[in-house]
Amino acid sequence: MRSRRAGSRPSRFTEAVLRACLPGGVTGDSILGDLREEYHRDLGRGGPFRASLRHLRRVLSIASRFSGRPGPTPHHEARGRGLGASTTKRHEEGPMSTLLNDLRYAFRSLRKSPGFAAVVILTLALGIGANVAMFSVVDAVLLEGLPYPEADRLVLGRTTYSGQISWNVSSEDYFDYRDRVEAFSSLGAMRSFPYEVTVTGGEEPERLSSSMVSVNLFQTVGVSPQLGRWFGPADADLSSPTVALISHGYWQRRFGGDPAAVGRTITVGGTPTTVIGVMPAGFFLFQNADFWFPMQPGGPWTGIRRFHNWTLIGRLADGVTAEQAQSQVDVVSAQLSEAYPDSNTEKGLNVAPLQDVLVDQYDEMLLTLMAAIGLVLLIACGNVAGLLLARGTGRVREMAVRAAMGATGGRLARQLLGESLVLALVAGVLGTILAGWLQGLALRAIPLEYAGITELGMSGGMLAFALLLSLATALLFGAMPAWSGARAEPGAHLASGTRTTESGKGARLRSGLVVLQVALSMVLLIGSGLLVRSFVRLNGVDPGFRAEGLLTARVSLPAAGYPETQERVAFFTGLLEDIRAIPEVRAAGAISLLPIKDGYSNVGAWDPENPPAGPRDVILAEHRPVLPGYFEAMEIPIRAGRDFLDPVGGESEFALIVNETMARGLFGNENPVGRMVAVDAGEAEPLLARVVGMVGNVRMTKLAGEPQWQMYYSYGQYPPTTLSLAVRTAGNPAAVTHAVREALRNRDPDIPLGSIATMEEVVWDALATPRVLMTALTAFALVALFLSALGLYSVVAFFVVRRIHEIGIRVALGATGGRVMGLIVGRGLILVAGGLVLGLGGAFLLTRYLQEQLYEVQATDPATFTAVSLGLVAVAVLACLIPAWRAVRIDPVRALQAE
Amino acid sequence: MAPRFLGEFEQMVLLAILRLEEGAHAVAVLAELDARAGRAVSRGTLYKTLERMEAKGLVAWAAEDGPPERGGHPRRRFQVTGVGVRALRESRAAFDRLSEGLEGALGESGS
Repeated sequence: MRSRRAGSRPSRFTEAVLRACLPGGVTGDSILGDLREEYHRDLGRGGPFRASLRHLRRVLSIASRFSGRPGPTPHHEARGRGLGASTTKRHEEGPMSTLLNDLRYAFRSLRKSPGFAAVVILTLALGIGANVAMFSVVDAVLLEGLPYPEADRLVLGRTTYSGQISWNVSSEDYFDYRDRVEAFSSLGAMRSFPYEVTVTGGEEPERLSSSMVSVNLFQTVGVSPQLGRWFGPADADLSSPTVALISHGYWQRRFGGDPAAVGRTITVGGTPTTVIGVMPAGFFLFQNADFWFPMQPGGPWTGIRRFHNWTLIGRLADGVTAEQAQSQVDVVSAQLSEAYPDSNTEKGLNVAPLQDVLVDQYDEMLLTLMAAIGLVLLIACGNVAGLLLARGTGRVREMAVRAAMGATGGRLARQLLGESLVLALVAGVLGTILAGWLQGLALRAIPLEYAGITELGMSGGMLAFALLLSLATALLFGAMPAWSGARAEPGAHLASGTRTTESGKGARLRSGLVVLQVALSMVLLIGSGLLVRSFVRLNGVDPGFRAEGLLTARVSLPAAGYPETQERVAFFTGLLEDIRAIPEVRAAGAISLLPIKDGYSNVGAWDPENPPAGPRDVILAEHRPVLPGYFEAMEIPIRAGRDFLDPVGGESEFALIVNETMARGLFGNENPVGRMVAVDAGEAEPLLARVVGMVGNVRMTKLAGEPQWQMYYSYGQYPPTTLSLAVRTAGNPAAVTHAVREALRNRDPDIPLGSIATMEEVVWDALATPRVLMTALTAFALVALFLSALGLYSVVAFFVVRRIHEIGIRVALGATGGRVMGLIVGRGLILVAGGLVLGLGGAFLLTRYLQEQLYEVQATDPATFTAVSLGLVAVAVLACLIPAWRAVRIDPVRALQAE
Repeated sequence: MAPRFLGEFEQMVLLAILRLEEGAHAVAVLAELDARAGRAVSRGTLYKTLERMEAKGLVAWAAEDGPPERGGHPRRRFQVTGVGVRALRESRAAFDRLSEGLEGALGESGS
């Protein structure tokens, strides 16, 4: 599938540029048509990115040849159809042509100093490229709509519970909202967590991710299967045959893209399942899935009002706003509270535009990065402006000569600005090409699938942004040098002989630029410093288990093949024994859902002697069945009591191991071992379980945040078909993968080993988002620091050159090296001090927008502010020392001769 | 009055237009130059050359409708005028006269 943003015609913007350059009438029109035709052809051959680039190149080629001189006059055009057209035409000078003459002159003048031009162009191209790439991401996520028809009418329904908001909604509530709220033309549901199924019948059994959706979900979203049909109302019936929609990817892999796959029966989890359709390529809705099964009232994950397993997506009826839908929903919520006080007191449903909710997940990160990249470009502009000002000093005589020959100040300014424009435009073209490549990097670093984006491309908006940015850049760095260069006074400068001087004003301008650069770098450095500190904190969080040397994998038994608890226990116990027999393996255990890796599952739990006052007072505890040996394998310490006994018949009553937080929450500082706990198992009466042990806290669902209540059951008393293995090894955990797979194959060749990963990989992945943000911002900040140091260095070096005479006299009069160095470094540090004060103020105001990204670090963390200030001063001193060192070694005699 | 001699590129363009006959649109001329003469010409150069040759009376064009992807913009079909044909003939004749007897030096087998 092509990028969803690919146009079938070139961008309006480039066409407008072209039209401005071309003659009017049929000639210009036909050339526009030619380029469209070629664009269309390129689109078919190389995709939108290449087509846009080629188009841009053609436009530039034509613009450079045509803009100087006007084309055929209207008189000539009228005779265009005749043969043997007339040979003379009147040429007119338009404003475009004067501008282009300036540009041509500028181009020639820059060709004379290619080194200077190259440095400026590369600096700007990097800055512009990064900005354009980031803009395309922001544009796609924040400015464009979701890739669904009338996406602005899609809303997300989330449970509100005593002020808390959760994506998960109960199936029974869903049915009531769906049937009673008229504001939705349709309300669909999708199971909040993907789950894996085993597919057999291919060459190897496969574990595939699947999702469960209400039969109307895809109609609600507006995505049709590429082949076959949507789920129908009959598919929601428990007694109907099992059917599934499959992903485009699975269709290609398993069926080679054969259309006859629709209607075929495959075995999923031991059940014959008919494929009724294939979803289009690139379709993604919240989860990666290869299978979608219909939600069935009375089927899995339905039937209990206080269990919340579904995500709701609704489509607003014609002319209904989200607010109106919300008020209708509130009425139903009130009815439900009254009818089901046990589960629905203070429970409601929040209705919000889907786009807004999805964008909320990214906007802070994207806007932070965009702002940081913008600052880097600003600093780069400062450097280029400094370079141009310095170059202007060397060209005072050239300007004076031109002024003496009658060039007006405006004309001179235009010439200088023309040079800036040429530099910026060339940099803009290079930057745009670079941006196409950077997009790939950005997509890899920032996971955007949630927003429905799997591909980016060159878009008209992006090209327009690149051009605007180039023009703005040219103005930013070119205006000051043009203004200062245009005030050439022929007499004064021609008389000044060979000495190049810099006017006081020029020096002040450059110094001001450096102050600004330092200030901007300071803001970036502090931002990145905060993120680094936060990341170090996050990385240093003790997860409660030892991640090193741990292999994890998932094993799922077909329910049909292992209906009895004993069979399941025997299978897993035997498998673990075989794994423990592998020479490199130290310990092995199994749990329903591994921490960090496998998502969450929780139920209410309380002290039966001290039950909660109402439903909203129930505290949810993460709950997991485990096999004996799990805590040992994970190296989770047992603080009191014991591990579970033999899963079959080992425990005389329903046994429970709780974590420290839960024990303290339930029983204070008393020993929890031997106490009873009530667990909400979805029945009318809670299950009573006896605590047999207490273990250390584990970061169960994410690394940040305080550990929740956690409790473990004995697998024999609660035996799901799927378990995750935790295998502790002596050496590299990945090295035992093969042996573990063999052990499983020997037990049952039809069961695949799924989602294999070392625990270190799992933890690494869990930190992806903060790492991307930290790495990117730190890289930007370092570039900014480098550019500012360069700016500072050049200003101080220039100061030394300008004062060489004075320094010579001072040295001749006996000034020591230390004094001279002090003079120079002091001069630089005054600028740094100014930048520091401005930067600290700016950072103080701006870093608060980072607070949400920070973990256990305040946005105004004094340590970070101090460390960054000191670091910046150190770099600044270094940047000043080099020219100061040169000044000290000035030979007074030669300095005085430099007259 | 046609100019006495043509530049090399002008000759190439005229020959390409003659070869293409009814299909001599700008895009086709470009492709023909690339395919037959190995000259990858920039759009700016081609359009500017066509404009100049039109002013010299060497070529003329007629507007016609194109395929839909042109977005309704007309297409110009170029033709070489009588003046153009004559100029081309004269330029080639001049070349031939100058090349006469140089087959050995140019490493060609004489015809």
